[in-house]
Amino acid sequence: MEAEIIGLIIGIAVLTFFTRFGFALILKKTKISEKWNKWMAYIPIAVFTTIIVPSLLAPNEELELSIQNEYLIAGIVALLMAYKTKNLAGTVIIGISIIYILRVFLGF
Amino acid sequence: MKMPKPHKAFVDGLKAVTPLALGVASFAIAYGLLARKAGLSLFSLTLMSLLVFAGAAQFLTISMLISGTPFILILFTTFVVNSRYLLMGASLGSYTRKWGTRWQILLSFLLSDESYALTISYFTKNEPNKYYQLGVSLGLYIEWAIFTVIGGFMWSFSGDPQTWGLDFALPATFIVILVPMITTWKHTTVCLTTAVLSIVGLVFLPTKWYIPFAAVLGTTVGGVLEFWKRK
Repeated sequence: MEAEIIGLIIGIAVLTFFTRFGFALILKKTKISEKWNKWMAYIPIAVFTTIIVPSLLAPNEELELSIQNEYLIAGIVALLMAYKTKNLAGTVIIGISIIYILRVFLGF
Repeated sequence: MKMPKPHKAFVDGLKAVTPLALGVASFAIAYGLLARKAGLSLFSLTLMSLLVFAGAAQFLTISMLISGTPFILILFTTFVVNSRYLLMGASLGSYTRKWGTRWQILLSFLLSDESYALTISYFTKNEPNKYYQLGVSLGLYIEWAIFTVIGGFMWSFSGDPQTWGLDFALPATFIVILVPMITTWKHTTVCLTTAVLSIVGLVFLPTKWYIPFAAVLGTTVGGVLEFWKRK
């Protein structure tokens, strides 16, 4: 078991490294035009939105658009807090606390 | 613009990590706990943090191990999830290419969502600096490794991390990273379109394919808006 897991970890590590290094390698050889840079400026917003939205609306891989979805509730509060305060630690603490209260006391 | 000294830039990078520290630590602990639940040894879960260093992918791998997913599918899914690093690598590539292969390998290995967010916002406002990126990346790497081990140790007396809500640390951190980035109507449009695309992808595409799908198309929407306005 242990040996297999270590094999899997090394496999994931190699794949992950090449996704991180892939474009660095390609771009070393090619010039990037100003236009591409403008396009690529939208990468951070698109990438983070892609990670966040499904994690809130479908925490268990299936769309859960209901008030029974604790991720959605905590996520909306976190969005409002992030917008108003930009305070990372505060937002994380409040978010985790909401999830904890909903799960432990309200049986979500 | 004056270039700060390497030492100063490195320390600035380390300092920039502090606001993110709590979110990263919580998520690292959650990963450590979950990994023990899946039956991983302290050695394996630490090795994974040191070699892979990708919170979302590691968390996902552990969940898949718990549900008995075949290894080949785990490998494939982590690749799809990590496909966003291709985009991040491309976006940082125009800066890192000047610094030589060794630096590129090192900084690529240490690339994470958080280090990318901090680095790209610094690079757009200041003179791009490899020592700054190294400070950010290394700070996050070391923190991730340490709190992963702590999570692994905590397993014997704390139980399931899901009860504690620690799994929410990652989305919460990403939310605070994303929201301040949105400053123009074009940003808002890209964010909302990507949100819809990611849900469409989630519903209609297999496993995690919505990630490359929505990230690439969302970026393209931004590019089109930019290009169309400049004409």
